Amino acid sequence: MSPSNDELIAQAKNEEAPLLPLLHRLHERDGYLSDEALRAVSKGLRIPIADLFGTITFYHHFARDLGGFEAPRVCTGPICCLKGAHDLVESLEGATGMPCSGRCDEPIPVIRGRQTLVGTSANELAVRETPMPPAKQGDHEECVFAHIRDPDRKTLDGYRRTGGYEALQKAVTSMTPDALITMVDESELAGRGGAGFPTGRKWRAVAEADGGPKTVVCNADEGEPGCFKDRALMDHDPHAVLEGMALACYATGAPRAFLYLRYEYPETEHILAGAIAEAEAAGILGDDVFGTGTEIRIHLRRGAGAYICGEETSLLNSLEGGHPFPRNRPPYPVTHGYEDTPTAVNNVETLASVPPIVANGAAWYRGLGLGDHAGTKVISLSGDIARPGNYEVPIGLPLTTLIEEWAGGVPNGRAVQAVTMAGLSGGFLAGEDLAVTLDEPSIRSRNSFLGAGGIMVFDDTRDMVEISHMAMEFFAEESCGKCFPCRIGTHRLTERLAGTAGPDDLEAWLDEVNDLNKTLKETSACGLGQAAPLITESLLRYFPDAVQTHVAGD
Amino acid sequence: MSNPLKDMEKPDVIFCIGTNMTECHPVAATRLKRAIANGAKMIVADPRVIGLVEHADMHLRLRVGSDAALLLGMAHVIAREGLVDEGFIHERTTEAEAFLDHVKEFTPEWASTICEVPPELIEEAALLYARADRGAIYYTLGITEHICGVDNVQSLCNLALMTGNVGREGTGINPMRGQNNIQGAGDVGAIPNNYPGFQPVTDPANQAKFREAWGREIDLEKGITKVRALELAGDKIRAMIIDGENTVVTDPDREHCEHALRSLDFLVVCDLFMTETAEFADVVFPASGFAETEGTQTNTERRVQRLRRAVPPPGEAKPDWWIISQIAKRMGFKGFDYTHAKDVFNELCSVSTTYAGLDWDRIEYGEYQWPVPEEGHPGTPRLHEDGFINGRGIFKLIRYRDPAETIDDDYPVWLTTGRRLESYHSRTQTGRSSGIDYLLAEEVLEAHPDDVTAWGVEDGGFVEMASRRGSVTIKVKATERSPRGTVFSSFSFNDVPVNVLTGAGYDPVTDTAELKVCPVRIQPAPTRGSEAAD
Amino acid sequence: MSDTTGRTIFLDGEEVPFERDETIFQVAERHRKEIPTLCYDDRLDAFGGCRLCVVELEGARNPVASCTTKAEPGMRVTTKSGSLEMHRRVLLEMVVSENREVDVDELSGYASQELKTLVDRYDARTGRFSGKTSGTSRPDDPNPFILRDYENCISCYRCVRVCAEQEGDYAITVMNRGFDTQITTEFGGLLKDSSCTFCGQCVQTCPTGALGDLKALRFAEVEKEVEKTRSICPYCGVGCAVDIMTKGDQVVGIQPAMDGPANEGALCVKGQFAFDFVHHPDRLKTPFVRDDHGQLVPATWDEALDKAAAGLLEAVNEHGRHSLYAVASGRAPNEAGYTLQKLVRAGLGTSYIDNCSRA
Repeated sequence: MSPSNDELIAQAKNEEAPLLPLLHRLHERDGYLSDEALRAVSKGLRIPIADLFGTITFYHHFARDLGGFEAPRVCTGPICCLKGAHDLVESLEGATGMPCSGRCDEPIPVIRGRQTLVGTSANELAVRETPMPPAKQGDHEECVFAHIRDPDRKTLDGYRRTGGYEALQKAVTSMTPDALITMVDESELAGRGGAGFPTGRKWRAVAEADGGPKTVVCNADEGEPGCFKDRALMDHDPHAVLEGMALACYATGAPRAFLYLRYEYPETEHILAGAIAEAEAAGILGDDVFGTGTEIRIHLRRGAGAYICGEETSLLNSLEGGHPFPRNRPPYPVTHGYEDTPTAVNNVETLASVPPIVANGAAWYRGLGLGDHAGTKVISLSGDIARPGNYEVPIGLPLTTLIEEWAGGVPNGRAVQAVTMAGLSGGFLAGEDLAVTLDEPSIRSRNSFLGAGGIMVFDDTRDMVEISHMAMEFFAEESCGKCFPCRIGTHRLTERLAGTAGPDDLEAWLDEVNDLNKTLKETSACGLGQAAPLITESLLRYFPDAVQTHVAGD
Repeated sequence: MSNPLKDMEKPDVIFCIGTNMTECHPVAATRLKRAIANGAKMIVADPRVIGLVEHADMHLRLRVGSDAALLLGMAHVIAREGLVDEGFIHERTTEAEAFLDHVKEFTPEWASTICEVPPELIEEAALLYARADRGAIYYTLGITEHICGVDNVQSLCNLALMTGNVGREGTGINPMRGQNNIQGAGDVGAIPNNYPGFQPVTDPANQAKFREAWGREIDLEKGITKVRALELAGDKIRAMIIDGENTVVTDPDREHCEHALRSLDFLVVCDLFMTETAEFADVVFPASGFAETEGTQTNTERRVQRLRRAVPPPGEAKPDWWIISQIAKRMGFKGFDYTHAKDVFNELCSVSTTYAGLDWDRIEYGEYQWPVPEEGHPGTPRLHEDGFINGRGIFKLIRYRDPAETIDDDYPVWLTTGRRLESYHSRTQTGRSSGIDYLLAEEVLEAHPDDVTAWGVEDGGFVEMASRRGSVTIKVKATERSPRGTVFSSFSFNDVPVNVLTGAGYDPVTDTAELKVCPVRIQPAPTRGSEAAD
Repeated sequence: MSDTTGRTIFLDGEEVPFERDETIFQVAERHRKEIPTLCYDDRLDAFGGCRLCVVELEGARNPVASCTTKAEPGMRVTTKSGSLEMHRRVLLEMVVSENREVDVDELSGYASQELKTLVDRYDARTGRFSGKTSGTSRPDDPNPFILRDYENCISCYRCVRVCAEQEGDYAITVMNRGFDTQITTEFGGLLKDSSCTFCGQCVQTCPTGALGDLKALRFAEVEKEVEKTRSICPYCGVGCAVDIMTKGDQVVGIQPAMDGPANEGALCVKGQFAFDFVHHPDRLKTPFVRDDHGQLVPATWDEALDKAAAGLLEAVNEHGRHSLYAVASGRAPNEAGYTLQKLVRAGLGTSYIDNCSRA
């Protein structure tokens, strides 16, 4: 018999960050979130019913109609659209589209309940494991992918066979938190989710902040279109991520950590939950880490479909059960994060980099980059490319080396017309600017940024105005609605790229779009609105003729 | 209130008893809600699941009329657990020893047998309140409208005194006044025991002072309360002036009240409308009201504020003070030559100790809270900060007393009465404002669903509710807001004159009526039910 | 003002002190900088949504929202520049483009002219950025008090925030996201079926008139100036200060006094909406006296006053001065109670008076 509302609510009351897990349990139990269930939650967790209702509607995936949980959601991200995602939506009964769900290196993913299927047509959908990163290319040493292809790596035994959890054991038994932070600081590891903030500095700020308990959050809400690296890491090397989180906890003095996983990775949740249970049973996590008396508990929390929850303060609001608007900063999460406690929010890849750093030393990691650059970056490469997938590159590698040599270039004898950077957020690079190296200084000098490392390749047959429209539509749909420039501006830019509104006269059209670009970029409250105009800016920069044709209505 | 309204955002523990604040003082309640949003804890003691309960950490669902027992039980726990503020007691109070000895007798287990709140909840509430840095008590008529109203208030004072929760920000004993100027009515001396500014009439010095001011010797004896006056109507009392009160509807025991007014030789009423009370009058005067009258009024936190005229009154309506002054003059009395409300207010200030430092111009912006003993004084937002007016806080030895009437086989259900958010008193004003009917079209009797079933009535059906004094027919609403065995209704609707039932007794000290407790008998009323269905 | 030693910022080049925890916006407001804003209500936590209040901060890459940025010693702030004014105008043009109309009647609510005023100040009726409008109005909500015209909503959420932070009712919320954002109750129902208490706070803080005072708007067509008179609410003992809105001799509505010492801008449904009794036809317009047939009939003041005085005196003369009793009102002003107690005390030498506080 399935558990009652009262039982589930009583269980939730004993948990940290109880709202999302409770809602998921109800969602799966009933196949949707009924009014009755929501009223019970409102009463049980003392959340005003109106606020609860509003928050539910914010997320993409909570179904409010009977059976909605099982209804197929088809990825309609930019790459899947090129593969015919809209036809697939049409051909599946009750299907709806969903934003990029992070499997751009495969046929189109379709989520049905707790299962992800992939395929390009309705009758060939099949369950398939997340693709392993392609074999190592070049003679550069890897960091996070060094052992990912080892057999049984995802099991605790397999992980420990090649030194897994030795870094954690070493840290908790023979290093002070301060020494650990210093080591990470000296490695020059910086945030791999896109913001690039030095990890050691962040940890030190949390360690030294007043108040507690301290909190670590692993940001696994990989929502950026064209990014699927964290899924590969978590699916194939879950313990590396957990070990990185545990090291972050030890460094900052946090007894608890949350892993906030995006909704679209249901299998990953299963893998991670198993890994946490294994590690706890082995005394590696829990209230007595390696017999040292150190407490480190990792709580797995699943989002419900909202790109903005990848923004760390939205993520914290979501975790706390609030409306996932970004917070105003300062104060920053390092002093006022989860429930106002000092909180280190780190990306999956960042955390997975820490165990090898502790094992091999700061200098080793620094030396992985090319030239003056420290370390590596995983790039998710997709689109018109022979071998899409996740590549761990030394920072500073030329983009063309990655595309042409590592990934086999553009198929069918076509040429690269443009690539996106930072998934979609960095806009396009094209023409001479494709000669960048994969590091922030080089890419930023071209008015873009590397960000989370998603790169989509478009060959010279693609309609760049249409691709820009898809990109801007994504930002408009994911705009949270808190700040005016982003809420209205992304919508107006979408309309102009779609040709459904805006002046017919090119000069007036450009005048509007340029003003929107500038105001979005400079006055939006968070990165979403600030980055969205990079799409239109780079479109205008590289493809003025296409824009002119578009406005003329041809 | 001992403390200003602003202080309601400052307590760390709030104890609300006998106050349905979200409905009766909604704007004050918003401040409590803000305190709670900032982390304050709240204890609500009320038989019903009132709006405040949604925001509370503890709900003590006591039986109607058993407040004193609950409060004795709490005092017992506080004393037993050593949570008494010894320093405060020593410096600021008297009779503490006797009191602490007295409460030993009243265990939570004993209290529970009377108030029906489980002993462990009484303990928990007592500890929560006593451990607060800033504990504040708020109460309204649920405390005072009992035959033991004074005992109840003094029991609350005892709790505040023993824990030192007086005279500081976010503490205090705070009665919420129900009417816009009920505080002012007492302030200006419209009470049988005090001159303006609460100067006792029994003090010869005051007698001399007012002889000087008004040129006439005034009795050294207190007057009588309205309750006594109505009892004596037609006997000792032969004439009355009633200003702006719909006595017939709002007072208990309507039958008795109507009889009293009929017995008078002469009745003068001033009001905005031809009320049920005005119908008994020999002369009715049309008074000007809100938006029409210049004047002053004093709120629950003792803040004196100006009323201003925005529109002319209808027809020939006049301000109350003008009407009363004209009557006085025509009765041959001196000293009523006022030309403006300002003259009246300034004279009030000149004879009142609490308003002595005020005048018409000084209250332009309403920033003063009395006492304002002299010109230049900043006012007193918080009472008892440096000491009690009468020296020391006195502990009173209270014992529980049963209500005037208790339930029995003939009248087995407790009725308690009160107000609702959308209507005000006898609806002379809210009932004449468009839209209010959309929210609250009629009165209902709130009763527990089990009781409704036991009476053999459908939710929404009609019952006849009778007390020893009368009966009314009323529609039933089944709701778990009401505990089993206790029903609730307001007295606002003239077609459901609930006050024909009430009036079993009065507080012996204040003559306040026991409107909050009235045993009744309830049975289906098929006739009215089918009429309504047609 | 508290000690501000060591706490100064440079505001458009001028060194000015600030208080602990003050935001740039608050400092600038004190110095009459007139920074535009639409999402700000000084009673609420700063939200940072409209971005109109952005200022340039030396060392910052982008302008910052002055309402959410705390002043820090030594900050150099520019509140007005060509670029800032361009952003403000573009933001206002965007807002205009999403609404059905900008011009709403001032009776809509206390803050209802804020958008219109800014749009005029920035000359933002350019028609640029046209496209789909946002918000779905709720003409299906039959409540008689609150207009829910969300086609004029700009998603500043002041209504939602005032309902939560000031009123503590949490009746309304933000639904959906981005351009589809919509103010709603739980499950999209009527206000009456929500925890709304019709206090009107949302109406008064709405800067566009999307939420409007339906009772006041009944008088929108009356072609007279709106005047406001400060007074005190006639209902409970809290003593909320109100501004009575009139057109000529007609009370058309009530607005809470934002600087009312007891209420600081708050009201409840009675104080906000239950004022029609003032002009109700049932109001007494003349004195009445009981005639020979026992009927109450209209009379002149002289007749009535003489009759009242005579009737009262007769009782006193026949039965003594303790036979007259006075009941004062808890609803009438102090001056009423004072004169009435003086009548019995100075006139008869008794204290035979009481008021309605015992029932």
